[in-house]
Amino acid sequence: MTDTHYRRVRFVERELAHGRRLVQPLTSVAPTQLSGSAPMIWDLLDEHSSVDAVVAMLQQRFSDSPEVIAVGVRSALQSMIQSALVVES
Amino acid sequence: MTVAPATVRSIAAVGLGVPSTIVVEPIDNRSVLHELRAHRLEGVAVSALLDGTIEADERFGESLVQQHDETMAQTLRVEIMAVRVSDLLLDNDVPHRVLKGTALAHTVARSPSERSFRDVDVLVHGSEMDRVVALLTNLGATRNQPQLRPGFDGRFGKSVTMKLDGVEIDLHRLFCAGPFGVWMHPGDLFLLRDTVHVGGTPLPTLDWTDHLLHACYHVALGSAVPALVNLRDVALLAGGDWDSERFGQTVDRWRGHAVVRRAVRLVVDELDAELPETLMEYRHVPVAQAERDLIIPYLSTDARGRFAELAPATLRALPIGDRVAFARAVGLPEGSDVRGRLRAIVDRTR
Repeated sequence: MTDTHYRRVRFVERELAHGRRLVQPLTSVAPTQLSGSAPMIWDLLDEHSSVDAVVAMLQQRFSDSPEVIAVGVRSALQSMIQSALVVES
Repeated sequence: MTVAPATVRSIAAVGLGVPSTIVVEPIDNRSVLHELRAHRLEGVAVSALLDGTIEADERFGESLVQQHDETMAQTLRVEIMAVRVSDLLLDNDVPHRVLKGTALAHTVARSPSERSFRDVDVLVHGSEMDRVVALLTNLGATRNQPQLRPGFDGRFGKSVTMKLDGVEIDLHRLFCAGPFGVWMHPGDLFLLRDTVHVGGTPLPTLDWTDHLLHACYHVALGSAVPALVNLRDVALLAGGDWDSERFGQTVDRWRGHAVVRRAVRLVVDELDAELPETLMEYRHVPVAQAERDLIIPYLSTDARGRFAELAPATLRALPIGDRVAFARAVGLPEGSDVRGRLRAIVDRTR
């Protein structure tokens, strides 16, 4: 596991059809679309800043192993960092 | 007169009255999608499609969702600008109220995704107008039209339209131009305040009752054919927590009976919406013919005709002490580019 913490930047957002989410940081010129489990992870980052904490929350909702969930969370976080939605803190 | 086909009006009324199924025939797909965009109802339609209120074929559903995705992307761009503008004004201690789309999406709409908007609308005191224009100019914003004469915008203007990074920003002093604008007391709108939190910023906005008043003015005087989303705003606001006594006092004080009467009639006729009785009463409120006639120029689709008719009515409504200054600014704008300034006067009324 890791001690790295993550923080959402200032953003605006809208729900889209089929569980998708459109998120745009205030400093970006274009929005990013989140789909699949990404909107759920995005919401969890509002109150939980570490991978461990997000994984623990998701474990309560899904039957996958923590390792499998962590892989998905890290992948989603990397995408969010690349889209400037999230920064390491 | 109706402002849109029955199918689209039914979609505009979703959630406002008795629920019923809305069928979109495949042959109407393209026209309905077009009207939904024109009336900014894609969000309401998507909700209705997903909960089964709208019955349509797969192609319609896919096109609608895609159209809504695009509209939401545009809306976010505008919303970020609203936050930037409000941040700027808060940093400079400029009292202001964020109006219409940005505020209503986060308060009145069933979900922000149901309420799109295309520009930023902010109310400021007339005495602050020049300073706000200067602040935005420093950020890189440009005015759509030059000021007719120094001090005109803050003293007589309805609003100043600027553009920054491709987004239109309307700095309002009043809800409307013309005599009904002259009769407003815009200071009333700064007495109470609500707040919507967007992008980490607490945006100051009107309280619910003043939002309803503004929505009525916009629907009644904004254009001959109001967008259905604006009629829906009135219906949603009317169904919420508003102060009918203060609303009535303001309408009296602002001489706005003809305005509210037209707004309520439009909402009832177009949406077949159920409004509270205190608002429905305005449908039959007596209004002198002379005041009813004052609405006519607001509905002109010809900007030149609109200006030509509104200017004399404005002049008559102004206090005697202001008439010379107004007439001088409108009749003899400052600067040598007379043609451009005359065009600006006409554009100003659009």
